[in-house]
Amino acid sequence: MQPTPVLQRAIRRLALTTKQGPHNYYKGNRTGAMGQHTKYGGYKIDYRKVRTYVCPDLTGFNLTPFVAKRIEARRDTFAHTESGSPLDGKEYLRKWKEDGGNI
Amino acid sequence: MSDFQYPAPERTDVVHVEHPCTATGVPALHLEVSNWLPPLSLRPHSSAMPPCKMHCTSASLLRSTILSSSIYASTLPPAFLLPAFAQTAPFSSTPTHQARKDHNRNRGVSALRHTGIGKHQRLSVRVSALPQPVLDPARRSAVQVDPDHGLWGFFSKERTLISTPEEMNGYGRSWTIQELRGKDWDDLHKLWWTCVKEQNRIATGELERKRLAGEDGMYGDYEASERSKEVKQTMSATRFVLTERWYAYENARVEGMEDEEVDLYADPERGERAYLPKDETEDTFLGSAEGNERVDRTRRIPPPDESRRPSEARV
Repeated sequence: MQPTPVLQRAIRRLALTTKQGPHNYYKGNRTGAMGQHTKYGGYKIDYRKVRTYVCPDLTGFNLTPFVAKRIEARRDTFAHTESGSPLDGKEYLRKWKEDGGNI
Repeated sequence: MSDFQYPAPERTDVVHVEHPCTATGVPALHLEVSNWLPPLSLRPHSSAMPPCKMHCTSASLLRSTILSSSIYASTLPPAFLLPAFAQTAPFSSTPTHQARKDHNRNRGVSALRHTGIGKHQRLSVRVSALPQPVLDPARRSAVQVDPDHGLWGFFSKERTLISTPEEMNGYGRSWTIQELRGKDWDDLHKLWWTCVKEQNRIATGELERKRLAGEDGMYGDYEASERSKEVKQTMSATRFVLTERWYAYENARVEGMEDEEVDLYADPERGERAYLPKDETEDTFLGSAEGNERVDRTRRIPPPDESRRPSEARV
């Protein structure tokens, strides 16, 4: 099925529906599975899959989501590392050793 | 003959009735029947009809035909309808009043039809005993609220219902990735949940504005969205730093496989040491006490990375 030429451009800006996608298109509802379906039609909740939210104790924690604008943002440089990137493994290892290791 | 004078028949039909009994030798009947017949009441008892001979079945059929004609139904109903004429009460499908006397006090009481309560019905509360609302706000009793309730986290520090656009606009900038690189796991974890609570406050304000003034009925949506953008950027930076840290750790683990000073299979919980410095392994004869002291000494030295960076501003 092809939409009419007038709609063809506009329909791309709308959300894809299951009528438009491929045959195995699963739209979902933005939540994952919390368990498994049983062969008898039931559902068994797997508590390893159930979400757990660990909120730390925030008393005495003074940071906010914002930083004052007068504090200038600086740039980090990783030119001293071998690969020149923040993901450098040798630099990580060096710092780890400097910190005494065994952490 | 009687006194009645019959008008002459208009037409006389001769009916030839073929009966099965003809075949048996009985001669066929020749009926002479006139189309017009006087009413029964007017018919004389004497044999006014021309005499005729009829078969028994044919006679009964003919009689029923004559009797069921509409002329006679108007004067005398058939016999099976006689009980209906003897009935005195009119027929109705509605039950009589007597039939509904089931001693149900709620009979006929309907909220849909606004009937009100029944005549003999009593409510548990009298109208005079109903509580009166306190219209004067000064006389109302104060609502007891837990000052440390967790739901206060959905409101601002001043515990007002909504923040003004000026208050919403009072934010700085989001944390940068460079600033968050120097934070440890606990700080990042707490900062993340601080951001979540800030998002909750913003969402509460949006809901309250919609509730109080409808869609686009109150200022503050723009300020809220701009504030929310900064919070989201901080959260994004937090995620970025943690991801970056994980990849750096993974690269370091691969490097550690080839590093002779690193023992990847050491279990720190059992006291095994993962970092075995080369100079220390050479000086094993000096004893473990000195080794521990040496490790402690290295711990005391602040890492150059920390000293190079300016101190983080905690806002």
